[in-house]
Amino acid sequence: MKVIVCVKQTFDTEAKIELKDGKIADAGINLIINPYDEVAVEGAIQLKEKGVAKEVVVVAAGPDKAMDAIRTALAMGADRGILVQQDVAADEYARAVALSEAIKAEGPDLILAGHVAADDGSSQVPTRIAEILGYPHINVITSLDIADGKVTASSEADGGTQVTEVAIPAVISSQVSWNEPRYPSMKGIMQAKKKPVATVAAAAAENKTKILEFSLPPSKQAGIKIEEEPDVAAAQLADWIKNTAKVEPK
Amino acid sequence: MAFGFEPFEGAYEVAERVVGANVPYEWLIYFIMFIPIVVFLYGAWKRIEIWTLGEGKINRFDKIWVRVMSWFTFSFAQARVIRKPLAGWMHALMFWGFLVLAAAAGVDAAHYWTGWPPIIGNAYVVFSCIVDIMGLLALVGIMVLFYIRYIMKPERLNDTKAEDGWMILLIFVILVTGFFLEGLRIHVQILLAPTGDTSHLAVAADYERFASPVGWIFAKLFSWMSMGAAEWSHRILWWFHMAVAFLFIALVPFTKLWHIVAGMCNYAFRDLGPSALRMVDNIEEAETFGVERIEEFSWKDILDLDACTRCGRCQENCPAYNTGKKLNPKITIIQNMKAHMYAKAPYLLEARKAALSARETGEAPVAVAEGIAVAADTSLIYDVVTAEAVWDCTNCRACMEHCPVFIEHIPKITEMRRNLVMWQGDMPSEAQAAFTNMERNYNPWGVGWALRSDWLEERGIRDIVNLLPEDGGDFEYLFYAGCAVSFDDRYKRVGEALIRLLRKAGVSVGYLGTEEYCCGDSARRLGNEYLFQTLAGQNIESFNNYGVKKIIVVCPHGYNTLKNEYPQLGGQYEVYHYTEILAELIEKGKLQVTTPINSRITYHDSCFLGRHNGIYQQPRSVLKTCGVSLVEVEKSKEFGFCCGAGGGRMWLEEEAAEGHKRINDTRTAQLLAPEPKMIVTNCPFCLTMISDGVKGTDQGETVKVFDVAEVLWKAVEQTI
Repeated sequence: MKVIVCVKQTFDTEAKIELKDGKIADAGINLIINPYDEVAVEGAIQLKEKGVAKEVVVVAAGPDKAMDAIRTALAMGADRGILVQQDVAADEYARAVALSEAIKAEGPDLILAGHVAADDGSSQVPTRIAEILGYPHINVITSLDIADGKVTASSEADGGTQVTEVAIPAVISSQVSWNEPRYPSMKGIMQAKKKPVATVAAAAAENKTKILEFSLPPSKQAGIKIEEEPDVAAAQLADWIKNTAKVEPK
Repeated sequence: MAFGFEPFEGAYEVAERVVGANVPYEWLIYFIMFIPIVVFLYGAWKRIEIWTLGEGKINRFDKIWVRVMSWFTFSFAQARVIRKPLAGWMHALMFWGFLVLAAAAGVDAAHYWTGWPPIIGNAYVVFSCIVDIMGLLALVGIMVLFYIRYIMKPERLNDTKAEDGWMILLIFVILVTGFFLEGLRIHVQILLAPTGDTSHLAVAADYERFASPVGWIFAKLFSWMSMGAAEWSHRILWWFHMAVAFLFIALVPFTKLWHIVAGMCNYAFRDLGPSALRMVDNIEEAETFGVERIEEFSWKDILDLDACTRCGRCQENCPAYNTGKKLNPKITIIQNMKAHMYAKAPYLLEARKAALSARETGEAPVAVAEGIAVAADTSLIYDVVTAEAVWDCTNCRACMEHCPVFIEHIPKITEMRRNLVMWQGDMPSEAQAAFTNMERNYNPWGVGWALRSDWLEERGIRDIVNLLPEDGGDFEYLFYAGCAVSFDDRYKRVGEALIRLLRKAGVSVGYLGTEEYCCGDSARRLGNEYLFQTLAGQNIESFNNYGVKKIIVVCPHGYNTLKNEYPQLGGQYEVYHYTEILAELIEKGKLQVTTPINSRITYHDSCFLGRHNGIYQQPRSVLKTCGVSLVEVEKSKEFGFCCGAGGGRMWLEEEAAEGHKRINDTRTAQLLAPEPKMIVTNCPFCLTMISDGVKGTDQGETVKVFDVAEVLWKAVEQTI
């Protein structure tokens, strides 16, 4: 069985985001493999270790530096990579089209991806890929079983768990609680340097959306601390809400 | 004399002892002695051959003169052995006694063949008296050692084997038969002593009282014996004594007695450098990482295994062992590895021989592969030592500090961690998280690196700090804050106290802010050498960019790393721990205490300031200046008990073992025992571990945990 894992290169989750000329300044920002996709990579490698998957191929759409994300996945244990060269400005639609083209050429049995990217948080790409390829899709899974050409997966449902079965090929997106991604060993990193990565051009697709503006959340204001007996403190707090913070009842 | 022998005499012209008197064919001994010597040499070669199986690179042939001195001091002065008062001194007595007895035997032999040195007259009396007393001390030594092992039974000697008893018996028999011989001889000489005018003779009965005071007492034991019986007993016992002594020599390479040789080798080949982990050169081009198979260790590591006599001083001081963990430096590391090495060695030797002959004949070795495969079935890390024990270590250095033969435990554990992390990719998930954090944000907490200098604003000291990337002013010392000051809310206060103290004392410091990186201690000690070298390289680049010469480090882990390990990567700076600087500032009168703090406190020595770097006095002197009444806890200074956070264990979970508390709770209980008002330490990891420990006790509300810098700031400025 051939498994494809879609990975995205994102900003480090702890990075300090700053705007410069209305755009996100990326100087000094560390780029990492999207942590949700990392879980999908780990899931695919575990399938290989169990003997279910024969080959794990990592696909990323992005600029040349996205190669680092592919190398990380290869160091973890994926077999080979494909970099679909695409501008970072591509929206979810264009990205899904580009990835789908690359996936189609590979003809996999299973497509894995994180259910959301840590940067834009749009949660669209895996679902769009399933739509474009016409494959069944299970979202936000926390466990996965493959037997007799069928995928059985548990996913988070409101207040409980939903178990779904689909035929392969299928697109499955992972929740972080599925597994704990491994830390690549030096052995893995060295082997990754020798693993093949193909570079392909992205299929032409126009963005369907246009970002108008970026803005940062208002910076956190220092809180106030009232150290009094409860009755006095409550009165002071009420006064502060009314007169300083000027919160008006609607 | 040739085939006959000299009889005993009761008097001589001058005081003397005729070597070999009363024993027919005694000269044969000088030929027979080559048998034990040959056996010894053969056995020694067999043991040393095994050391040569170590493939790992290590250079212990540098600084020859220092090594000779080290060998001499620690072997002959027993400087390290006597650190354990009773057992150490008894070992030393036995050793010195045996040394003198062996030397005396040599002198006697020389005298026998050549007549030189002339040990007659007063020279004989003095020489013999010294030997006699040393023999007695050796006898006392071995008897007390017997008493310690079999009657006192300290916990450290928890793996007593039959061999231990046999060796004690052997030594005891050699010494006792020696005194019996002397007693019998003197008894006969007393019987032979002439009566009447003896003024021209030295009568044995007179001078032997002084020459052989112990032998004299034994002579009295035999006073009931007839002359004939005494002479015959003497002859038989003489051969028996020689046989036992030769047995001793022959047994050295085949028994625990081998530690005499291996231990002395360890004194010569010990690590002479400061406390640093071993460097991995050219890590980018390495093809394997750490040690997976025992023969990948260096010859010195294999020698260490031979040097261990199972005295258990490591075990006695190991925080992991003493809280019920799997790790026991004596057994799970050294003795298990030794057994494994000796099981595997025959195959390795065969493989080496086959490889050599293959080079000559051009044929590939075949048969050996089979043997190697059998031996390789047992995994060093997973079966022999176990990964659990490898992760248990806190790198506190108690084992290495107390080992009488300088065995290097931590480097071995680190090599196995390196293999687990960099080769197998098998590590606790918390270690993974710490690595990822250090890799992406240059601190183990994982807070965004761009926020590294934000603590200055938070603590309201931005305007009094020379933040080099922004202010770029001149400075004398670099203030290396480290990750804890930068990101741990509790420790930011310590950073503030230090900045204010240094400013008050007029010390010019610069701070790198976001151009400072994690020192890499946790990465290195958890086995991620690659990450350590990356971080250290970034720091060295930053330091050099700003022309740093002197550095004040807040955290003892950073201090040890910058001071002792960065030179391996080319980073040479004058590195100080802040307690050294504060003690000096106080001494020079640049910091004066205005409000003495009259609290009763206990002080916790962090392992990396204490054992790793020997700084015990300066923090104490700072605290005493503050006016506190410092109560030393039972385990302090060299015997300090670790808080549990060293060796990267700060980032790993610790489960309490059945029947034990966790390491930090164990240490906290020790520190709380004298009922202090505060506990003071000098390390952010210790502060965290002990604060957590105190919170879990009923003194959690009353006893506060502070850093030395905070206490001084309070005493200098009436605030904390």
